[in-house]
Amino acid sequence: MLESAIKVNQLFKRFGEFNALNGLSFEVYKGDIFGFLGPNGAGKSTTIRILASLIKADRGDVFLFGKNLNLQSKNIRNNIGFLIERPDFYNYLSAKTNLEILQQTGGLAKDTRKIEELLEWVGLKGREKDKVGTFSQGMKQRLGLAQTLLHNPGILVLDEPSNGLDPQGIKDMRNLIISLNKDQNKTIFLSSHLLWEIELMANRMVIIKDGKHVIEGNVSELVSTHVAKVEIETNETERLNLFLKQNNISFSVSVERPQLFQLSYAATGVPDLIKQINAANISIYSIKPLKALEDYFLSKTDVHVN
Amino acid sequence: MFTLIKLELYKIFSKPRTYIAYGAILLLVLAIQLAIKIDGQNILDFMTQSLQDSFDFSGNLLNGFLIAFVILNTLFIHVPFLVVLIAADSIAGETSAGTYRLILTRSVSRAQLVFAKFIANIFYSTTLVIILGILSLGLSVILFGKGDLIVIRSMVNIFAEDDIWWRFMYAFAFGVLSMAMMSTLALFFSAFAQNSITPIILTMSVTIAFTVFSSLNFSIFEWIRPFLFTSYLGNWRDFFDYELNMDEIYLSLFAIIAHIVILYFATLFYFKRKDIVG
Repeated sequence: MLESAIKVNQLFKRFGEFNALNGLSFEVYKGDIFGFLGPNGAGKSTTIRILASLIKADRGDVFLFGKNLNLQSKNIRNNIGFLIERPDFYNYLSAKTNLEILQQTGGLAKDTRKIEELLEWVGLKGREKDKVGTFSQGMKQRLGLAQTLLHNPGILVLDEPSNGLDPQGIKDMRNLIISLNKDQNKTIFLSSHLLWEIELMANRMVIIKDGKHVIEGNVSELVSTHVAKVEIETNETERLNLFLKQNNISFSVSVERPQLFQLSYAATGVPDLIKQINAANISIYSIKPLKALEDYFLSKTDVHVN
Repeated sequence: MFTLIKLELYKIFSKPRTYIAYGAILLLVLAIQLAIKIDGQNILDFMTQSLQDSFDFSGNLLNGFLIAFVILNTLFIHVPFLVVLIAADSIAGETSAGTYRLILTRSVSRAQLVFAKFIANIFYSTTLVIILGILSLGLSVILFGKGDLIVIRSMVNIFAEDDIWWRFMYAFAFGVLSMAMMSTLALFFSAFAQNSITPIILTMSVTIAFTVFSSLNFSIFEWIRPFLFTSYLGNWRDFFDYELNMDEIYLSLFAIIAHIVILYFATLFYFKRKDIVG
């Protein structure tokens, strides 16, 4: 039996004339890395702010580990850590002092050792006495991740954790998040516009649009039922060309690299396709799915994303 | 709760701007003391000119008590603005900095946070009044010595040396309460604003406007005057009446405390419901 970590039930929120949430519902299970996707204006930030008690829903309920957020907000927050968009710290104070303030604001006793451990874990050892105002965005993001763990919560809500990070920073952040899930059994609620990041990390996801649930489920299952783009690299271009035509499979070829074939194919059928190509004795250097989640996301939300 | 208050105080005293007010008071008091040292006797002669036909003045009239009284008359009008600089930043500063996204997701209630800020601001404004007291009264007595205090209000009051200290102590205590009221007003505006400048301007504008309404003797403003906090802020002077008008003093205290209570709960009411969207 899967244990519910976050249950969002029929959430409604209106800002003036704008309906940010229109009865949104979804459920995150304990141990999930749960991807939270939606185009701009879909209601992602509003949902996260409601989870964080920064704003109140007009209607609906949020349950965290079975407890109603509206009724026990303060107690529930002991078991949940938030990194919401860019983390804004007290720039005039050091990293260590910022964490001390956040630790004690949460009702915990000052625990310098815990803070030093966290700073080391996120790679900020040696910079703990520097003012946060001197930190790069990447360092602030890592400090933001550290502050979510001060009270050792069971759930982490991470809103665009890779915001403003360079490629190495994104990779480091991804490894930290995966480690939190695998090694420390944290349930991760992850909102990101980097769809490949969700695809790499999340086991389950929900896509929302216009403040409503579009689809929810296991990432690999949802993506595999979708017709995906597949890229095949071969040096036997003429034979592969002929093979695809004979099998009525549409494809396109890169002008700059004619050895690369791109074709739309049901993700579940890709293994059979490989077998058939092998049976036809066509040499293949590589075969890989292209942006499966991005395609899937676009098909469900009908909007363009970067 | 004590930890939260301590943290709020830490935030206040970690900012360089906090010390501007202390510096300003120090400079102003020293400047006034220097000016009185140089030109004080002429000013005193001018002040007592009309009385010199009837009274024979002798002894050290230009003493520390008189100078402290003059300084308080001058600075008690301006200290509220120094208080506002910090209190206005209290809630709005964190809104504009975005730190509520971290603070309010911890296990702390908004009511606790507002109360901690309220107390921390009052502590800060109290330290300003204490510094003002030490500099204006203590330093002036050291520099200019003691003596009788002449206070010209509706009557000419001449207080003997041993009848003065307690009056100053009560006046400063009243000042602490007045500054707490100004601090709470700034906190109130701070809850609504997205940056620190707006509540500073609002608090100052309201104070200036109310001061004008309180001091203009037009019948049109007569009915509104009892409801304006500015009608009471300067009533520390009541402790320098020969016979204290306790009804007047109690009314002032009641009005100021009522303002503090109403503004505090209004701040709390709004902030608890405020959407943190920034």
